Amino acid sequence: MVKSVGPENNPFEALGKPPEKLPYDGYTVSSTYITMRDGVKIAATICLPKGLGSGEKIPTLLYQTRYWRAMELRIPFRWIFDETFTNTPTPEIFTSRGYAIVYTDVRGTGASFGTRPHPWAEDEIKDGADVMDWIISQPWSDRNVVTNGISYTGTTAEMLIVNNHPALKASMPGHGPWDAYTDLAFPGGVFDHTFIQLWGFLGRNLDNNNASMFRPVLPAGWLLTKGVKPVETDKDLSQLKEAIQQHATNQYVFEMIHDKDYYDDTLPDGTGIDAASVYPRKDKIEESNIPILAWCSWLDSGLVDAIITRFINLKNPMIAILGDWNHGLRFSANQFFPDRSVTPTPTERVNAWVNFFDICLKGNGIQGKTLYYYTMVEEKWNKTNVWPPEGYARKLWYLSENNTLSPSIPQTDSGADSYRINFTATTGRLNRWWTLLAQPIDYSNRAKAEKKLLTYTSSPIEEDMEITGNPIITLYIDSTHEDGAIHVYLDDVDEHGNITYITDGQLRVIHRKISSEDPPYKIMVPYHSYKKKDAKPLVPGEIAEVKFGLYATSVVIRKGHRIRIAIAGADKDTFAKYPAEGRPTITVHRNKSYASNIDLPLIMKK
Amino acid sequence: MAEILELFKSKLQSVIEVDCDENNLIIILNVKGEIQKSDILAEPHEVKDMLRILGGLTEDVSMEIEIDNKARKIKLTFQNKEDLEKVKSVVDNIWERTIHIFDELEKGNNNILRGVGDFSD
Repeated sequence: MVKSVGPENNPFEALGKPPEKLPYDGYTVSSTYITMRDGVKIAATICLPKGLGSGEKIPTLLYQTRYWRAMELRIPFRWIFDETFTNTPTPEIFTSRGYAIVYTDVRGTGASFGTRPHPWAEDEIKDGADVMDWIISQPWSDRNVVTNGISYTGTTAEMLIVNNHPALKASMPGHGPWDAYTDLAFPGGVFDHTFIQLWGFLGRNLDNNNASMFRPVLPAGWLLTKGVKPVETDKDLSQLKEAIQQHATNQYVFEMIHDKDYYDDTLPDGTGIDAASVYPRKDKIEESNIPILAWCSWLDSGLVDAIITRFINLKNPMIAILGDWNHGLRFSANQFFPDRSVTPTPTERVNAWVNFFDICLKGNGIQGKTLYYYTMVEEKWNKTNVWPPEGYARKLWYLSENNTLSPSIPQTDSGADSYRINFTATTGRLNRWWTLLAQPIDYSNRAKAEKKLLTYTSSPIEEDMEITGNPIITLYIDSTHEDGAIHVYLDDVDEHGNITYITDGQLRVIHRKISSEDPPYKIMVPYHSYKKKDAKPLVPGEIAEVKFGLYATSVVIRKGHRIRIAIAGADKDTFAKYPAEGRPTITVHRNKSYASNIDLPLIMKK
Repeated sequence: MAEILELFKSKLQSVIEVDCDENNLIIILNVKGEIQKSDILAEPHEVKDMLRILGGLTEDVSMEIEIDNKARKIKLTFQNKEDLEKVKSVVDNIWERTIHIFDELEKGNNNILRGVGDFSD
């Protein structure tokens, strides 16, 4: 099926409109502890539609978070916001449309008891089943549960499926990883030390109920809250105190992995990094046949590829959505229209979620798989049932002399450019990785930033070109050092020389081997195992092939614009430095024998 | 963001009504609305923190603070007219100032909180 273009491809319209008349107005809030199979108590906040009739039964949205299910707000804020107002969704829309909501603190966090060895550990996943048992035993429950979330909570929503609980009818994981190593912690084998370290700092302080930590990093949060909300029966706070004491033995990701290099490195508890990944649970997810609505953004870290990977690997009925917003959908991230407000609005978004759940619970359900994706510059939604969309082709652009990119392969036997790695190179603190901390995305400084990089720019292109999918870069390099990281940026350059970031990717060169083994799941880029047995330092002075995928994107390069790639050896504010010592010089070979190139995925319009 | 902050300000203004009795040196904050009604309205130290951090009350003004959880009222009693007027001036502008603080923080200007001290809890 050739991809179809048109307004009907907007997923928010495709999911339908909210009802004109809402069955309920307002909601009640209560809280309780739910006891798990092993005695651990999980804190839950329950929101029910006001005016629920006696004997009336409704479905429940289960939202499991590690970021405090409810907050003890300071004055005057608790006079105008309820304790769940920082969750996504807040209760208003779901309850007005006839859903109960149960928000929980996952074990080892918030006001819940227990301890956590790592994110999404087995006990945490099983707790979801115990919570669902509790939900369906409540007098207001119709025994149907749906679940959603964004980021961490998106993954708790996906992992809930693994339990194969008969009550669970649909899941909506938003902005969630598929493979914790490649999508988040070590993209391209390069350690995302900033996010992992800051996330660990956030988690540790949340788990210790230390709201003062917000002051330097999120001062608005410091003004708003003094900590997690205790369960309402815990009047003397003794249970909260005891729960927090149990969190003291929590393990945090940064301490566990910051000194690791390989995918198959073992963590202190004997597991590996993929213990926190979704993909090892693929069979159980498929066995459930639970319909899934998964969504993310082209500019969200490595999570963009997770959406595509999920789409091409899972057999579940699925709607997948890829937009142009930041992590969490609070800001537009479209670098071509930086002043635009984000769409959909929060209200439109939440109503779309409810519509999806209504379709699954009361409608005809979801058939097959559909991926909706937003093409930037074209500024249109498109949809496809296959990936890559049909009508797609690939075109190579070769690195050429005078720092150009050419559609023709070089004809010379020699041709190379040397670049001494500049370790001050950076994409700043508003990039696709910092957005994991809910930051907006701003790559507007590329012109200045790329002065430190090695760049290649094409001539103006002769007709509009749509790039949809994962670009793949192949560089033939030699280096003065055995280790390093290669970061490659793909940009659009307009008629006035303005540079707009499109996408990027990176690879630690010791992981450059393209494995002959089957990857653990289908992927759209060359397969690097990142395992110890496949790692190989460079031999200084010896040419090596470094080939990897850039993150998927969908953008139109206009006629008259130019394509540009920029090569760096570091991204100071985000990634670890390789090598730890020394300053390599790399030579990029661009000649007939070593034709370094970028392979662009193009879509031919109908 | 501007819209959200305006909504935020209008919620504060609509939920909190301020009465001032200059003759008896009293300011009363009446908290209306149904949100978190069963919770403790406020502790005295929270009121002082709010006036200082959000309101910008830099002086240590002596006041008696009485909280009526049931009636949802906070009564501030002063010893002299000068003190009342200092706090009244802060209360009259506190929501505007609160929104301004959040707006500045949203823009990345964390210096807006420099020198305000810490919460007392």
